[in-house]
Amino acid sequence: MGSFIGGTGLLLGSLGFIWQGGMTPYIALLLGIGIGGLLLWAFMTPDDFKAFFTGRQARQSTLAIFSTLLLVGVVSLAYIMVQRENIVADATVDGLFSLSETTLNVLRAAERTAQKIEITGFYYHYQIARREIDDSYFQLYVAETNGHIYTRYVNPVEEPGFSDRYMDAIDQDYNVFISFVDDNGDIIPTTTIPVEITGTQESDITRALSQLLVAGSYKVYFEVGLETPDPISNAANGLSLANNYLRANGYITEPLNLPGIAAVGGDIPQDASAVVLAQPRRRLSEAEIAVIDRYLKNGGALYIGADTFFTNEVFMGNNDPFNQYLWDNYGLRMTEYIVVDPTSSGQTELDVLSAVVFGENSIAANINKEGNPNSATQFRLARAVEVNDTPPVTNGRVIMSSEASWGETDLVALSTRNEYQFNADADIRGPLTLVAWARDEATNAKIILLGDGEFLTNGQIISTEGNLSLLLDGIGWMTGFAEKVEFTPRGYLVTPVLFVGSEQRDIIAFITVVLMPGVMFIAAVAVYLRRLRQ
Amino acid sequence: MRAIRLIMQRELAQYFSSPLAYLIAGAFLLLTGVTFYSDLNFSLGVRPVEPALIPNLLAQVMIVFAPLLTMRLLSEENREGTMELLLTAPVSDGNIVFGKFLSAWAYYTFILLLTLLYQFILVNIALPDISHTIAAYLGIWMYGGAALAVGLLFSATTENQILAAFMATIALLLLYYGDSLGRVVASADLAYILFNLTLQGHYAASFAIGAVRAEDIVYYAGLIVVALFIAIRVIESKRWR
Repeated sequence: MGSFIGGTGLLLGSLGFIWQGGMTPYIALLLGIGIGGLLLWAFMTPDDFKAFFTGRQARQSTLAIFSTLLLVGVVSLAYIMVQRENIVADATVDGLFSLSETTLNVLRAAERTAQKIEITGFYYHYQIARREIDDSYFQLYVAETNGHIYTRYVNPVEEPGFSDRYMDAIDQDYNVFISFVDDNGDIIPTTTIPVEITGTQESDITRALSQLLVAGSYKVYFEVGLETPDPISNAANGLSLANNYLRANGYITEPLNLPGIAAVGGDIPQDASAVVLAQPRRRLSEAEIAVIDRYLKNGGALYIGADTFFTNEVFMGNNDPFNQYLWDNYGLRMTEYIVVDPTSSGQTELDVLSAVVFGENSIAANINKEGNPNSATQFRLARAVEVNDTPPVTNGRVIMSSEASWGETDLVALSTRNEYQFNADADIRGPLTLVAWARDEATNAKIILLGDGEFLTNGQIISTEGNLSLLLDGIGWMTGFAEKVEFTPRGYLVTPVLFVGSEQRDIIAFITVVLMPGVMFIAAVAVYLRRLRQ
Repeated sequence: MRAIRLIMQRELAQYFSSPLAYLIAGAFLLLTGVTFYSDLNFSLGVRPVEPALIPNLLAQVMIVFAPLLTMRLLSEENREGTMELLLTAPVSDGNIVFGKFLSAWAYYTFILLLTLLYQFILVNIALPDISHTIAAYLGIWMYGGAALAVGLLFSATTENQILAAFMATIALLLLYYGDSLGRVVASADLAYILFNLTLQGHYAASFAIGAVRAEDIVYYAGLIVVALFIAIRVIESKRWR
């Protein structure tokens, strides 16, 4: 027993020493156990210990043991050397373990950054298999950037202090983060981007990496001077969720006071990648329109959520000069029709869902996704948008209501008695446009006009995933952020098994479940009978 | 080499002249056939077929299957006293062990090849990721070789076939689930080392997901070499014990 403990302890300790490249408490413990075992053997059975080194059997057994240990050592050494080389052949048809051109471009940009990038993975001691699978992908990034990107694995149980500030995200199954590190090798917390590992690790990591690289490059301003909701208010009518969502996705957000700028004849800041006009409650003055016009002519982007208010001076109403400005220059304007949709709606027919989406650009890329009803958008008391089919610039529709919908004109009945009914003489038939876009190719000005602004508020934005997608993808399209990283879907992953008819399935069942094992069982019986006869 | 080939041929002939080998193959194909057909039904029009389905199943089945294939190889020679005859024959101990090991591996390869019929069916009805499947088959072939080598080692140590199969099963269970000890010790480093010592650790995170790693090939080849080397030393010890 002593010899076994001694030999095993020394072997494992030596291997650990080679593996770790130095002494650790575990290795010292193993070596101590090994030496202790040998001493115990020598002390308890001195004759046996002596015979081990002197007798014939001892010589043979010693030779056998040490040659085995030597072989184990050689194999272990070969294994460690090969492991350090990280030689991997990608056997998947879609090249899941080969970096795509998109990723390589992002990595070239990453290598040019002054600061190193750390992929921090939080894995518990019982998640080693998961860690190893993720590590297969991470090592591709490490190798491609020659260590400019590197990995660090943390067990939250062993390093609770370090893990503490990540625990909320870890509990929500976000266990990988990408951050810049400073010259001391410490993570710069403000740069940390969580990575959602969805099973397509390369696109997950590269998207996060791209976000890390461009984070801070895009600034989105929330207009706050037109009686618009407060972007930092946590109230139901505040915009803090939308604001934080944009920040979490790498945007810088700031407030912007349009009346204040107009009053001093100023301009919207040049660093404004986009301006959000959410639910303005009053019309724009000529001076304010002039500020917006200058901004757009310089390639600006406006995200306009024009809501329903039962007042005479409603923002972008029929006689609003800004409405006319958008129509003349971009071929878009708001109507005063309230969209009622009996077939594509939420709680009431006034909670209109996205019945039809258009895929001309990335704005609606994540809306009405197959198999996910929650990916529809939901607008409450939405107004219809009118799109000029012979516009001065390029424009188009993003979301429309269903064919069963109509545009309600009796706003008095709607506002006072909550009554709405189709009136063929006054109302208009659907489908009606709920969201539209325009782009001036000459100036690169971009506009998204939405017939609802309330959907951006805290009370509404999380009512469906589609609302969040419409905000993020809309801003992404306007700023160009969304165009930074585009992955072509992997062919194999989106190719399901072809349909197999029931007759074909019966044949497959017969071959696999009956014929193949049956032949073997019959062969067994035949061999048995033949041997019996012999 | 000739001696190895002769021993291998003799053992293979024994496999295929025994009803037990066909019964094992039949049970094996029944299990894989039911698994394949169930998964196919579940996948239809819903998701791509799992390229490593059958190899993944084999990774678990080999814990029992490998000892069944190897328990007889050397322990029967010990029990019937034919080992002494073999040892006096003009063949080396290494030839005996390698010949018997290769016969078991060849039989295992034969059964593995039979399961390729499932892939043939898939090619005709879908667009399977064939290269991924080949990687998984390569992995489970090496995994099987390592499991058979461990089984052969225990067969060399005893005259009792049941005991040999039992000890081999325990050893393979440890080699399969060894990383689970990481849950007990709460140390990620130790869990990582244990994971890297297990058969499963070198299959599930590489071959099964379509990545062929040199280190995993070295691990399985190394395990085969070490297990066979020890088996040779055990047989050799009969000369001087």
